[in-house]
Amino acid sequence: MTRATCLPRRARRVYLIALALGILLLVQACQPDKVYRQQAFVFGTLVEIRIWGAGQERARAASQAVLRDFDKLHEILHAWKPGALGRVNQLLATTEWATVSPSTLPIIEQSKRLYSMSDGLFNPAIGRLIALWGFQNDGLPEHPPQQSEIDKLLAAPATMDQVLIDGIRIRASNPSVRLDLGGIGKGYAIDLGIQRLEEHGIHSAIINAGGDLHAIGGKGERPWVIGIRHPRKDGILATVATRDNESVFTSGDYERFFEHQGSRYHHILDPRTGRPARGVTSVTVIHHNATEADAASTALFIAGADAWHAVARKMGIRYVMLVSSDGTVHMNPAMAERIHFEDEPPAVVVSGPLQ
Amino acid sequence: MNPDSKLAGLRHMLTTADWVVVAGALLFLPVLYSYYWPGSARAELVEIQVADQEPMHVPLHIDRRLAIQGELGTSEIQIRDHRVRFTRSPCEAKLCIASGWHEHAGETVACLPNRVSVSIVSSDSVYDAINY
Repeated sequence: MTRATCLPRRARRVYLIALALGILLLVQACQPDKVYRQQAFVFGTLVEIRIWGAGQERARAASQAVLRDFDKLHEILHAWKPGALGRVNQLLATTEWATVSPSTLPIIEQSKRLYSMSDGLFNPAIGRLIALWGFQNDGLPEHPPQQSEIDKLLAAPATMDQVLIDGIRIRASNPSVRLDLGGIGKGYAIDLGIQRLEEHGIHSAIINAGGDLHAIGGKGERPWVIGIRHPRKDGILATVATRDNESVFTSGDYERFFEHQGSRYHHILDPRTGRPARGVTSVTVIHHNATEADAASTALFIAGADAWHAVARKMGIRYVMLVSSDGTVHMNPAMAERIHFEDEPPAVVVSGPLQ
Repeated sequence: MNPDSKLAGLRHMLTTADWVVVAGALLFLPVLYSYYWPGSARAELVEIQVADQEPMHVPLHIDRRLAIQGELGTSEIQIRDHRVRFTRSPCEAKLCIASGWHEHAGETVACLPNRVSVSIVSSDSVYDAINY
């Protein structure tokens, strides 16, 4: 008997197939992760960029280009530090026509458009109100402002309709107008960042700026999976798989807030009352454009459980999830189909369709 | 039959391919170990980054407290029961502490004023990003 005939031929084949599979698994396990990840403190927040399948060098170069852009944008758009927007605000206070840095105009024009679409709920002209509440500061205030101070500002309310643009000239018809683009700046930066990635040939990536993000492509055949933070508990409320070219933006009352005499005062101010919007803990919007998603999540938060649907329709938003203060989750049917809850929420209200 | 003759018999019974299979299986064991053994190198890590420095990584399954020097001062980070949180921070708002425990791969909490971020990372994370 020769050694080659010790085991039946079929058994040897099985062994060889098992061996090939083992080697394949080993090679797979040893492959470097296809997701490139870079994290940096820019734009006044923590920005994470994930890029799939582009190779380390190209991914690194693209990420660094985005982060450099974010640094520049942060200087341009900062609401209370010297910069291009600060200069715009000085000029608006004069109510005279003035030439401004062209870098500031596209976002101001978008803000005017989104102000109108949101029935004035997204209103970046209320910079003085935001400053009065102490939210134009690196720290947080200890108490709310006097109601009389709020009333003074509400007596001649600042609106984006009062911001007039003619070419590269701008003026305000109300000297109270002060732009604070905190409700749109991250979205605007993310949109530009995604464009920059695509210029570098990147087609599968996530740019996540302080928890708000835009995703393009996926991880090969699989989608990017996003966990949406629970507004009141540690951990995740729900997950959603993004489709190509989608933003996921959430406005929550837990992002910036202070407590005074047992009440929570957060940074999302209702321009109608001059006070933090009540009745909602978070609003999540999925949309194809980060700038619009950013503005919409703020506007729908202010609109509240009763009015979010009408405002979302007007803004052309197709996916909304609103968590009200009692924990009830309000969604439109298209969003409800896409959302997977980690634990069942206390109650879910599915509205009529948005389109 | 003595042990030597048993081994000789085994040598006669196995072909070269059989030996390769056995060797391959033995080589594959460490990979399986790292995938499935709790607390192995494959398990979740806590990634701590200060400003734009290279991040450091520590395992999530070993309870400990870490003092991290940021731009304003020292942030204290606690790891316990496969969770991580900020317990002390030199920042004013203390939102990093208020955000509580974090346990899911993909979660990040940051102290922006102190420029310290803490992320849970894992190659087999369910989440690619956390929205908040």
